[in-house]
Amino acid sequence: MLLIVTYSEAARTGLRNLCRRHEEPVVRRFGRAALLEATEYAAFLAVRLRETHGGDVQIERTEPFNEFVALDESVRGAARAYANRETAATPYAAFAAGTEHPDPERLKGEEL
Amino acid sequence: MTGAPEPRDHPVPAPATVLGRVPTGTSLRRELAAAARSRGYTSSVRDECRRLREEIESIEVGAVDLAAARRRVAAASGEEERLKERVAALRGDVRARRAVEAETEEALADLETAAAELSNAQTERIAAEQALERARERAAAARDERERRLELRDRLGNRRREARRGLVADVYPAFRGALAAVPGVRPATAGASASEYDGPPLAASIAAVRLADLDAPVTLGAEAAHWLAVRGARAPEAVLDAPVVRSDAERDT
Repeated sequence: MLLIVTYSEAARTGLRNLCRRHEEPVVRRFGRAALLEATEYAAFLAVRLRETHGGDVQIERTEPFNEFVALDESVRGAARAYANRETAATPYAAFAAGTEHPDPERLKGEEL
Repeated sequence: MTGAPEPRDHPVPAPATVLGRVPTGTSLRRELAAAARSRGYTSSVRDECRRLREEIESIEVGAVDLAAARRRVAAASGEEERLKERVAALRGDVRARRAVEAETEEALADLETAAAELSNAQTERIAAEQALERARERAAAARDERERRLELRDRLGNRRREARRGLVADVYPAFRGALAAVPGVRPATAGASASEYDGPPLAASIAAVRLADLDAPVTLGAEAAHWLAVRGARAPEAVLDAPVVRSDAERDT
């Protein structure tokens, strides 16, 4: 999908009007951002908005996230275990220390 | 490219700018806030508004233009693809010649040249991707500043609305009094606050001007003059409590 983020009032208003006029390609709207379908028409609308507002419009392409494809079981398991921990105040680094759960510093260095 | 003008950074308009002309073309709240300012009322958030405006003005926003870097990546990727296909075709050619024991010297030379070109193209594509990545990092910093500026502008807009609400509440009783001097208007239509006002907008504009302490004469539009004329015998100057200039259209009718 296309993620459109705006950085000025004029661009934000432009995006709001775009979403109001073109409901079909708009997947979801946030305050000053929106997700559009991955179609050439949606991309046309996005690029047109950037033509008008220049650097105040950011266009990014997103892809669906599948943790069963993108992650090892160790990372999913760590997330599950950490979410269900008994001591709410424990930071993850302390939680993972001395266990088989992955070290957060190592995870930060790993690209998806 | 900056888009449409962003009025929120502008200083608060002078009362005569808002009320120097009837009809004013603005909302009752803005009229009353201007009238209040002309009479020396100040808002409790005035200093904060000034501070926000100064902070917004001090933000320097870098350019965000990645188009050239994106175009370079696209061109380099296209060239790389083209050369990959050429190398594959030349390899096929060499294989085919070997299969029939034909002469391969020329085909091998072509393959070698194409492979060298492909290697260069790959280097250029990687360089282009790295350049885009660096440009994206710079753009992210510039976007942080733009985001901060937008947040401050939003906050300034909220503070200004808050300031107007306060000023309007300060002068609303006096506004009801001024409304009583406008012919053909029942002050009861004013209600207890600006949101309850239920009278004609023109009457409110006239009362706001009457309430205000303006330095310059007020320009009275043709329709407004007519509206006053059919409702009472008092001169517009007396109703507005200010020197009046008729707009040109009025003299003709």
